[in-house]
Amino acid sequence: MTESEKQNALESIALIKTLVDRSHREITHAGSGWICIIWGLYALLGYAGSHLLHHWHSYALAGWWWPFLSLFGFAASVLVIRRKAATRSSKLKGSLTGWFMLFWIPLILLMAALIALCVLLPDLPMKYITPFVLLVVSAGYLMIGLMFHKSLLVMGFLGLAGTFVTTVFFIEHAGPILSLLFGLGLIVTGLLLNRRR
Amino acid sequence: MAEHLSTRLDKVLTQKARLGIMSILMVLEEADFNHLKDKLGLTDGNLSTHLGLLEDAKYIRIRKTFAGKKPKTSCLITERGRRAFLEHMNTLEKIIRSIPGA
Repeated sequence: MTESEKQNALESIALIKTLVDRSHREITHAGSGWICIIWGLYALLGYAGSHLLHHWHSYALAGWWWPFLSLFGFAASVLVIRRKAATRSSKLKGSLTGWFMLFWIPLILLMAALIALCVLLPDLPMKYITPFVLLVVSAGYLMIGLMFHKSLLVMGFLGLAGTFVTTVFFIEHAGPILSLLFGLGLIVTGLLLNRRR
Repeated sequence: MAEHLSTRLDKVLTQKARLGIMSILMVLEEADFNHLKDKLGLTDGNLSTHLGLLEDAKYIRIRKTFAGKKPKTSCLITERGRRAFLEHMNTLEKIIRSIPGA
């Protein structure tokens, strides 16, 4: 066997390893970066918009702000999935749809918890609403992370820890702190996931 | 022994671009033409030639469909392709193990 044949074998194995690893990574994180960025912006714009509208006494508009943004986030996520899935394999399509669904399960949990909150604790002070909302969402990500995705587990854990610390030590500023924490956290995660591809 | 090993390498898969296509398809099972082109940095003509050779060897199946008005070419790995790839990789590993100190 010549040296060049041996070298060729080593190069071929290295090529296989690189492409197989890259494809596995792509399946795991397909489109998740953009979905994280969309929901990170959702958290930041949601809080900022709602705060400004309250400040300008536009209470009716403030009430519609979050549902409007939710629709926008939903539409943008669907667009990401459609664009990615149009040119890629069915395995990637499945992974993308999975990511999208995983983001929504905690929000559905949140809606159920908010309805329960309105019925059971109608007099809860406003300052506790954001920590409550984020505790529920984080718990949702933690549960889903335990079952499916390690990155969601980390997100859930950091969310719970961040919410707990903010509620105990900075409850008066919980709204802006937690919106920044979650919004920027998701955007940074999204950018990192996009760079890893 | 070493001579014997190199003759056992699959001739279709010794070419790097074809090996790359098969490596991607081993994981994804199915991939779009543009996805392969993007990942392997090949030209349209070059990729078409390699896909044609892999199809002739029955290692992949090519499916042409339409996504709206745009034609879409998808490549799917076959069971025969999967077996050939694994065998080829096995031989490559044996060659590497036969290198002293590797």
